[in-house]
Amino acid sequence: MHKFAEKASIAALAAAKQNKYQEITKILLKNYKNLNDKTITEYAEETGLDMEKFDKSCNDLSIKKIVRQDMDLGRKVKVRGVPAIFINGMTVKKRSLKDLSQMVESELKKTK
Amino acid sequence: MKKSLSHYFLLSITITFFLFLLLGINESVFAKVESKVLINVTLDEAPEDITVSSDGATAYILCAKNILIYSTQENKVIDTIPLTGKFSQIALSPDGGKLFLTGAKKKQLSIIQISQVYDIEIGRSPVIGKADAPVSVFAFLDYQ
Repeated sequence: MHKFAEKASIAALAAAKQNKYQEITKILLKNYKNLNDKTITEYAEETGLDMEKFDKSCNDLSIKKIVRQDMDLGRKVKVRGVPAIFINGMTVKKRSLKDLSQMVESELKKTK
Repeated sequence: MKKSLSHYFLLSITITFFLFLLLGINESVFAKVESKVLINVTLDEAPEDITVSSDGATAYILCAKNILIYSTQENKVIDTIPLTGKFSQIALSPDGGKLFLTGAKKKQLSIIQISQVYDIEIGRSPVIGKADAPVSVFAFLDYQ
């Protein structure tokens, strides 16, 4: 795993507490080559977060625990690279929009 | 003829060398093997053949009517695949995505595509959409 990936994940979950998960995720992914302690804080400010609450959430042990649990889950379901996508628990091997749509359609048919 | 001291010295070195050589051969031929039974269970059906995933976590056991999918981590049959034919041998593709079955009597080959379905808990991380949606898409990202 990359050096600041865990820190960025914690930041994303901290932003989720202020309903800004999608906003910060977009910025973090756009700037994936330029992530460090300083820039992650700058991106959080750019997202318009309440920084006092954000800093408090970043140090919240329950958020750190979720990130650790997700990392364990990744190992359990044999994630060997990211992004890794699962549809109804099944690994998506072909990730074109067409293949993803077909897999979703196929799963929807099973429920009918 | 009287033999010199150096002759006996050379002879003793030669004998020692052959002794080492013989001992060396014996070691490689009779290498010790330690064994320990990890799992010993009775299956619901008689196994005819078996193939194992590359990580050793899953065994696919070919029986007369079904393929039993056995988890070596959970020590139990976690799923079965019903068969429509009589097969005698089973093999798994290197990527773990296909099972190859052959039946000698009827000259049969059958290839089955398999996908492992993981029980992924949803809701701990942020979710978009309804929690009870019929299809869930789970993405692992790492931001960097």
